[in-house]
Amino acid sequence: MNFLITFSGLFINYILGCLFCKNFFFKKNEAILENFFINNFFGFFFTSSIYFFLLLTFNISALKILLIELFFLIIFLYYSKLPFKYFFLDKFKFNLKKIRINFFENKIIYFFLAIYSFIFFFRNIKSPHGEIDAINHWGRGARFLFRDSEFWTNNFDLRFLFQTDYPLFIQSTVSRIWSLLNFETQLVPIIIHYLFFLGFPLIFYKLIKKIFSHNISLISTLFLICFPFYSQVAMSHYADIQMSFFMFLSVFFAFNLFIKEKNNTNPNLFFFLGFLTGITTWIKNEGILFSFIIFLSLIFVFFLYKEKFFFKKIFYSIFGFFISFIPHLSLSYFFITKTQILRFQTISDKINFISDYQNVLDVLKCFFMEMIKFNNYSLILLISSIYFLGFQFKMKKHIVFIFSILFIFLLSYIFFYIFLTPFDPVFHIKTSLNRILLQYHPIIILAFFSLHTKIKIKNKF
Amino acid sequence: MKKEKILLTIIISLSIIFLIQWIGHSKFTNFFINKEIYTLKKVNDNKSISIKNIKTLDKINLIEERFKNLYKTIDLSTSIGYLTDLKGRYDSVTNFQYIQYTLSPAILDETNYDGLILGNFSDEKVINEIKKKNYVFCKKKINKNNNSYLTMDDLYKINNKLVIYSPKLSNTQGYFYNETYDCNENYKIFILEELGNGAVFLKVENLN
Repeated sequence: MNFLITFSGLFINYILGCLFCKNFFFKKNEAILENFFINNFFGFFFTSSIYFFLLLTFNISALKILLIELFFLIIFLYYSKLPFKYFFLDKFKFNLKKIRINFFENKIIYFFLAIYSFIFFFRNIKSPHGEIDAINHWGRGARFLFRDSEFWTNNFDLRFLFQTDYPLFIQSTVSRIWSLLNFETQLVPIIIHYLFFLGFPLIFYKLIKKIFSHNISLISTLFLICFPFYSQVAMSHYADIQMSFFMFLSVFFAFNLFIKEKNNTNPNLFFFLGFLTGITTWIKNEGILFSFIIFLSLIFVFFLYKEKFFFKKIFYSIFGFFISFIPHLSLSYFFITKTQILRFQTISDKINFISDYQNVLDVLKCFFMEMIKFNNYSLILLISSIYFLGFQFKMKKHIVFIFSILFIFLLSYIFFYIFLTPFDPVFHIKTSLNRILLQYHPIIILAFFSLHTKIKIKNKF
Repeated sequence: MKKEKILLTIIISLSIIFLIQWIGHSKFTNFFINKEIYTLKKVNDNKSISIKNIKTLDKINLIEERFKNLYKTIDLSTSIGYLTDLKGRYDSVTNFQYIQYTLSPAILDETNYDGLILGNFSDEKVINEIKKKNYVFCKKKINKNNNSYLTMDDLYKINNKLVIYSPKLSNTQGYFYNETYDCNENYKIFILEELGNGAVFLKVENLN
């Protein structure tokens, strides 16, 4: 019975994702496997948010979860028939007979994914709970949500060491499936992380292939997955792959909008862009900074190219952002944890630190050294490969947009490490910058290859 | 097109080199290599290299075994204290974090000495030493200016006696604060329940 309920829960998760995406990123039979992954990932966002709100209001049981999710499903189905084109973008059709999976379209990617999958499962036999940070932040959170319906809020009373202000995307998704199963098993987080580990490169490859040549999309995907750091992060159960996925999806979406030379891009699509960026805030707190970076870049590009319907587009994207920001917002509203900045430092402490210019120089030096070291020097290889392949640089809208994201990203993180971090900045850079760079790595790859190749005009959006 | 193929070859060969390096340095590979050397040295040892043993490489698995289902017996409305004898900054902190994970949703607070306290000791010998009152108990004090108490490094220098203390958790985070220890001889530890493998429930008296 439990397995039947779990299966229904997983199916609802998938259908919710389907209804939202409606084969938007890939056409019906263009990429069945990739569509399956994308729909499930979006489904995780909806179901984890619903689960969190259920925790706030009811005593949870598997049937209650199913019923409430069915209720939301019916609402989605009802509204998807209305002409809300900015929310429901394509007609939902799913025909099992038409399924075609192009497993052997690219053998090299599958070869590397197979090797890393093998290591993934062996590593998870050794450490089914993941590495220390995953245990502290996501594994622990999932246990709090699942184990006691009354004292799960203890999660927010823990000491600073456990970063209780983290959003609950992973925790809530894992806990929801445990609640459906009615028992706790480490297989659930392992499978969720594996789905993202496997699904992201496949989706990345297919999306890049929409705008670049086959070879470039292959090289890009290899840059993403070939070096061990990508799989190490996935194996350690960190949420950075999930973060990276939704970040890339939103940037890619905006990048496509700007490829069109004409100034007539549908403002409704900016609602969807805002919604996509907002999802990242439910995965990690860095999502807020990322959304800020995206909006700044949008405003910069709109100003530079004198975009039509400027305010309408900005308003739509901020409106979309706020809708997917609701779970994070309610988490911060109901469980106000003292921010780390207030706990560990006063303004005078920070002024003392900054007033010694040697400290600031040390931070900058460490920042750039860690960037060079990232992912076994893949950034250097990426930059030199563009030099090797040859530039075709033109001040086009999409190129300005994506490089403005990278520029603002660099500035904002330097500012963050010098002025805001509650930790010792050099220590914080050494422990976190590589993971932040991994989140931006797909965007960096897209930016660099946009300098090289001719882009196909037939973009799909 | 040629250039792209050259680039592909470079990326693939580099990534294979990094992959081999990673596998070569992994705990997993070393586990089998070391085990082989170990079995060669001890010919009569019948221990076989089993995939089940691989779990012992990760401390969290041992702690999960040790404290499994303990959270069901704890009052979740109040936090419980934490004491250990484990030295080393990394070891003491990660043990605390692992136990918090295992005991969730109970709250572990190493600065709480008033109610129930969980003792996580290296082995049964430590518990016997506590029973014989052969220890030094050091209570943690968080203060910004007072340097009259011992620092954690001072604690590590005490070699002639068993030191029972709460780990310093802000070794990297709270760099503006000094966490110090008050090692008063009047503090007394009472063991309430033995949980096996060096784990106990205890309480501390004469705190003032």
